[in-house]
Amino acid sequence: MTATATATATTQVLNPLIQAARDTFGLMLDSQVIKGDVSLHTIKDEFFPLTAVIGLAGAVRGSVCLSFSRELAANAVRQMAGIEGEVDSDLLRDTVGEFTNVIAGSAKDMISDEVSLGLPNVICGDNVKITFPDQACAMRARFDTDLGPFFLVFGLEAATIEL
Amino acid sequence: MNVLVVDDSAMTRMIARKTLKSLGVTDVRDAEDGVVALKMFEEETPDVVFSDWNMPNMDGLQLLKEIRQRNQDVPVIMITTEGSKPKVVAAINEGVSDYLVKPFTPATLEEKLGKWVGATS
Repeated sequence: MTATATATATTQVLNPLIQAARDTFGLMLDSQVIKGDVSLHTIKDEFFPLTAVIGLAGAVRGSVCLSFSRELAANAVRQMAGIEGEVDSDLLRDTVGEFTNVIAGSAKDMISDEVSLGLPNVICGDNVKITFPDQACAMRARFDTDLGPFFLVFGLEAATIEL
Repeated sequence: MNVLVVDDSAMTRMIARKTLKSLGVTDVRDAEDGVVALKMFEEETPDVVFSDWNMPNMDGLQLLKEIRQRNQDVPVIMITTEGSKPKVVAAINEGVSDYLVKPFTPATLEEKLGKWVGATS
């Protein structure tokens, strides 16, 4: 595995993830996603209070994270479930995990058959530190929707299999 | 029509219930994993099963195997976010009926129901 391979993998993964985020928000929430700047992710960068992490293994390995504001998670639940008022915390966590699962799964299909996904884990709190594989080029992008903002953060390194 | 929905996401189960209700299907049971779903299946055979793939305790592929050991005829439709060839082949070999790709729309769910169990309303 080389730095070039990892840089290539990062580039090849970024666009499918962005496309998957747009498709998923469009279909599940009828919401348009506006992508902000993409930048390198550092350990000091902040997350929103609800962050789901899903592991990838195989041709690329590392993690994909989706970090939702409470506003976005609650609005998503209200819209999808057709409910009003306060939303149960378990349902908020479940929703962030499921969005991450769907987006990572959809992107995976555009990346390679030689990648497998784990189950999402959801972390609550905005003082979150997530580390990625040593050779990964960790990236983050902010997105805005009419229901609230979210971050997409991922760090993946290429394995020995050619993408 | 009796539909069994299996998914570890409470939100997905809620969406499926809501969508099925809008299609006129009121007899919907749901389970959070394959273990619970298999128990429900044994208690009352559904007309169709929609099952997620990646779940804790018992995943969708194992559930499919268990169902096929008990019943060869009930349509089992895998709900999936991904269509990796090895997984699709494994499911075909175990007797999967069809796939429903997440995120799904009411129209695609209705199409699958219509295909496997006839008109919905």
